[in-house]
Amino acid sequence: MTLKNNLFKALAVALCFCHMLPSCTKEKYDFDKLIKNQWDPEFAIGLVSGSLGVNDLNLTTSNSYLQFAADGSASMVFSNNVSTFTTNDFITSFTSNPSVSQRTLTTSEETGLSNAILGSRYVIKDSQTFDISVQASSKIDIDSIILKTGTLNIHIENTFKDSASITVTLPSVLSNGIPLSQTLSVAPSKSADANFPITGYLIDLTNGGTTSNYLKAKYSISFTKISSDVTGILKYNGQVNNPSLSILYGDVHQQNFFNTKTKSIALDIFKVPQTSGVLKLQDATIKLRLSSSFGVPISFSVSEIKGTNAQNNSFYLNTVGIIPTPKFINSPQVVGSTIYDSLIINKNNPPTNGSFLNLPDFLSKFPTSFLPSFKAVSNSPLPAGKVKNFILDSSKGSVDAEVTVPLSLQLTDYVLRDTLKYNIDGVDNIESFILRTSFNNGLPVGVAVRIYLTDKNYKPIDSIVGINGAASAILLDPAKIDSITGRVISKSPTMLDFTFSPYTVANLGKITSIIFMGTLNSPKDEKGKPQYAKIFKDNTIDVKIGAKVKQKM
Amino acid sequence: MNRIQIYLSISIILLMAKFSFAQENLTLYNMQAIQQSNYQNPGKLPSAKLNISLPIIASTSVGYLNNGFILTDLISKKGGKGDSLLLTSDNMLSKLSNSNLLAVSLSTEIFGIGIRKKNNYFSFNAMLKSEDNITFSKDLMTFIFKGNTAFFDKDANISLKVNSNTYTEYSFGFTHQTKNEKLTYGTRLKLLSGLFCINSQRTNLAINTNSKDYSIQTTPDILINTSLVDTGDVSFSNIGSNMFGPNKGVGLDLGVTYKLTDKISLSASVIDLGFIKWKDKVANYYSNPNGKGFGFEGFDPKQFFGSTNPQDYLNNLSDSFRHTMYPLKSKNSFKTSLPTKIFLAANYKINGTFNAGALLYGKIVNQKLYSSIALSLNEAIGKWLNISESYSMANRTHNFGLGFSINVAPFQIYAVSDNIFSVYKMESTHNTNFHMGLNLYFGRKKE
Repeated sequence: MTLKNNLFKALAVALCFCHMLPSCTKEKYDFDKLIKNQWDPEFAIGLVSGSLGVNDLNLTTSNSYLQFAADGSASMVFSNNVSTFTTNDFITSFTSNPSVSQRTLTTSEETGLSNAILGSRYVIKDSQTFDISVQASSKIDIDSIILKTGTLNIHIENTFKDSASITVTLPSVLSNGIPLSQTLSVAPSKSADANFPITGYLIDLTNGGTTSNYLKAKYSISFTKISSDVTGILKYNGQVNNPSLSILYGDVHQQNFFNTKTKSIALDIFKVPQTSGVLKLQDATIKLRLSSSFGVPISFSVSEIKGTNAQNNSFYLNTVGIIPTPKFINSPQVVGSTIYDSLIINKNNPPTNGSFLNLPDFLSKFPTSFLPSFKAVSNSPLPAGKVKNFILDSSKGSVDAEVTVPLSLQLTDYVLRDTLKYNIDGVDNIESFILRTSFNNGLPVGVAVRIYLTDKNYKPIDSIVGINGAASAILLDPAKIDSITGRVISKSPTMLDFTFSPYTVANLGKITSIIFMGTLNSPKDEKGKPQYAKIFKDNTIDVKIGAKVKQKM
Repeated sequence: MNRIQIYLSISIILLMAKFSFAQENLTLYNMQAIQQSNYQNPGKLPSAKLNISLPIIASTSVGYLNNGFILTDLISKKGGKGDSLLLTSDNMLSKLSNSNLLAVSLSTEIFGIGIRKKNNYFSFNAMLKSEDNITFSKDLMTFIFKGNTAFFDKDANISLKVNSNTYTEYSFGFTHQTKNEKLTYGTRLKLLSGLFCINSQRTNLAINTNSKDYSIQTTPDILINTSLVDTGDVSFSNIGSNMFGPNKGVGLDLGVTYKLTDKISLSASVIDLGFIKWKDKVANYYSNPNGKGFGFEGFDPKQFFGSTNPQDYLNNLSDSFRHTMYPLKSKNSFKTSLPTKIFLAANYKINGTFNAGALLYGKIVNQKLYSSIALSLNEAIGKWLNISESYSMANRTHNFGLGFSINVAPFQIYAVSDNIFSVYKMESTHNTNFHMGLNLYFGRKKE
């Protein structure tokens, strides 16, 4: 029994060891020998999702904005001030040439003075006058003026041996109806000055309607006899010092009136680099807004509009053909008010004349800016009768240009090209890369896009192309539109997956530029003729882009 | 049943072994000579009149369980024996079930004393225990190794639950054997003091990726309760102050042993019925009940082309993400249940030296029952040596266990493990445990 027992025990133990034995060897795992990059999870994530319409593009700048009509149709408006003209540009200074007058005694006055008792007064009975001139830098016949600053200085020199008392009166400078007057005492062989503060007074420079630019001064003399010597001269010298204008009435005559220096208008819509194709714009306009607070009628004409495109080519609008030419701008009737007027250039005004273009042809050359020049002549034509102009110190004239480009486009293979600089790190271990794109095009414009990935030397690494391989572009069909209203009826969907080649994936880190080339076409009618595609506020393109990346960890 | 049949039965079962789960030391259950077996069934009457457990050296056990994947599922040698290592993630994923558990348990006896008076046994024990586990979903590992493209148009249920419970246990035990010695029953009442807790009720994140546009929708469902974590109070220096701390709990052990015949006895026990209420330095993290998850389809191009300040848009997006995904916080007390264990055993006394045992074991972890089975042969060689060999089927593996106690009064040195070869093959071990210690005993009679 003991042997049997022991045998069975041994059998049991042996069976146990049969299970145990394979467990006895210890495996060694050197983790430094783990083959790298075996862990390669694949992740997918949405990158872009949303809708874009023209209203979502931040097109507002300091001189441009998007405008929507009542029906929702969109237009780009570019506006800027082209020229501003103030009184200081026209009247740069006033001068008052000193007018010198002198007075000697007549024979009877000499006799009367010599017979006067010493210490008594001897009055010269007849009044005398002398003229003081006021001239503006531009040729203006000033009838009357109110000065903002300025003093009238009268300098009197007495060479007589008797003291003189001179009373100077300004008959055309009235204060409460009374002419300004001052009395000077001038010692023998001495001189004296009288300063009249004439600011704020309406000064008549016509001398009773007989002249202009002259202020008449009257004076009377009385001597106090202190010498028997009756010889001598009284010299009078008058001028207006530091005059500045408040308001001026007179005749500006016919002369170049506005500032010829103008500023250019930038048209950012044409600044996107384009290489070829045709873009036609429908019903674009240029509006020149004119304003003037000068009391001067003006004859305004556009002498030149020069356009320059991105290739630095210049071309000209047919400004001669603009109707009306010239444009007459009346003078405001009320002093201090402003007259507004405008001149509109559109597809019919002006027509093309040889190398001078109408507006559609001008814009078809994609000017990135245009520079207008114009001519403004005062008092043209000359009014009948006496010319009565007025100029205030605050008078101002300006020309603003406003270019309205309705986004109603006819595109025929219009190619746009742009380059996006690209730099991304940490892409060395990517094993595969797929971009999933979905577009729902609600714009009435079809796009064929080719995307090129290049290195820093612009050497192509790969291109993202359409479903038909390297020769084709990615096609986004235009939305279907109502042929009458131009409104979008239905959006056009496009779904594409772009699988980057292993070579591209391996060289993702070398890509530094992404070049987009898009060929745009507007929808065609039944006859295959391109239509004008009108863009409305509610036109949008829905974009979804997702990426699926397999990365070796 | 004669001995031949027993040996044959054991051998056949060894060859047919499969399934199950273990973290508890199953070999110890039938080692009557070791008084710590009473901890697994208070319905077992220790043989010594006086047992004393000195701090730490009396009983220290550690258990490890992994029913998910092991290292050799993930890594293999190229060509079977080559030096290069291959990552075999597909193989690893095939080994996972929907919910996988990685668990570690630690316990040490602070002090214990047991006195036997005739057929009654009274005991007091103080233990320091820590039960820690991580439950993770298969979808989590699939997501990590395969990415979200493996889950197009369906929810990837990403779940990673961390549960950690460290507490001190003060237990008062009583065991009674009937006069006819057929029935022995016992109980142990435990007073618990929680030291540290992370209790993950729900840590789910559903991620759904659309196959058409790669848009992603995430929906979090999180409820994590913590105590003494948020305030950074977890340190050994705080253990002393928290050994009788405010996080209190109760536990109960019940056990019974019945001698069916002179040779056959049956036993059953339920251990760790109880809970701890955590109220000190608590923090609860939960997902926004009003949140609908976070969805991302891609950046809105309008915000970059048309906006003067796209940073505002990005900030709003970030805020939305945080509002949805970041958990909210509260400070509410919570309860954790103890990991209840069930032992069902049968023992056959072969002769005065040998007995054979069969044990069915179950443990409830995160409201799930994990079970395993063990067979053992136990020998008492004189008074001074007890040996136990076991064969357990746990977690799809077959483990060979060994335990011994050397009894030289008043000292008893013991060591038990359900998987003695795991020391050499940790990279391919699903579960193992070790329990060892030095007891003092007095007045022990041979069983």
